[in-house]
Amino acid sequence: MDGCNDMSTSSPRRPSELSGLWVQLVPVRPGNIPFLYNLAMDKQNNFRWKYHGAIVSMQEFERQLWSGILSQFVVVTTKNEKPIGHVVAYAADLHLGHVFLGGVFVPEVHGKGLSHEAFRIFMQYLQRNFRLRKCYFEFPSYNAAQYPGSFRDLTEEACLKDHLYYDGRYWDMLIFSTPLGRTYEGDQRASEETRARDHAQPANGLPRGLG
Amino acid sequence: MISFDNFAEGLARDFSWSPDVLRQEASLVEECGLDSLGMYELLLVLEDSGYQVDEDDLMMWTTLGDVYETCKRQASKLSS
Repeated sequence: MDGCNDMSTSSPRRPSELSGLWVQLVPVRPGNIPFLYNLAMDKQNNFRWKYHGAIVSMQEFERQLWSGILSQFVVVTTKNEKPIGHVVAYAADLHLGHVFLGGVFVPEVHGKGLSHEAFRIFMQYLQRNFRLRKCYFEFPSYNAAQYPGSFRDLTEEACLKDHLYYDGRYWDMLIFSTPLGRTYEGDQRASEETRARDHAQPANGLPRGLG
Repeated sequence: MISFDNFAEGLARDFSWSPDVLRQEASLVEECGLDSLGMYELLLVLEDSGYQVDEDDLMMWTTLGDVYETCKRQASKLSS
């Protein structure tokens, strides 16, 4: 591949603590609240997210925004800084070292993989700043069926039978986990690889395995 | 620029795709089986190979041919 040999001369994309190749995390500020509210109330997201289909007012949403939250960020694209999502760490037990993570994203990026980079960065941040060793993820069973890629790398720990009510019936709540330390080590390796790629491009620019 | 066949075969080795999906019109989700994590893995593989995929291109991808066109466009831009 001829063209890609010159990649090292193009401007490198360097991940920083809260920034990845495609997304970055920015603090929640008052100006972000209308975006976060619309995201949470979006018809395609609302029933999957913490309100499970209920509509609340903007004032109520804002009042509850930090309730039980350890940390949260708005997810924006690295290139355009367009807001695309919201990641939260909640119900933390810093004594035992675990926390629940959740995230919601605009429908346009569903299935595009950007949420995985957002969570990777978020988990690195949590690992660096809090005494945490394990993350939990709650998935209503209808989410788990629709987004199998969301939890492919996670360990299923529990199934709370008929735990939540939505759309005329009760649904199970699945609890998945991942050890934070393991993810962090893996991500550190990925970050190092990314940095290395900024300086040394493959000789032929072919997809891995072709070279 | 690498041909579509060579490009797709390289990715097929990483993602264990069967030969019958190695077509420009093959759907990334239905035929290549890329869920959201798979799509993230594809982005990382392409980055690893020197392609810097930006989110505007990513949003337009539905087929394997779309991925190839993005990479081909980038390769020709850089070589010109």
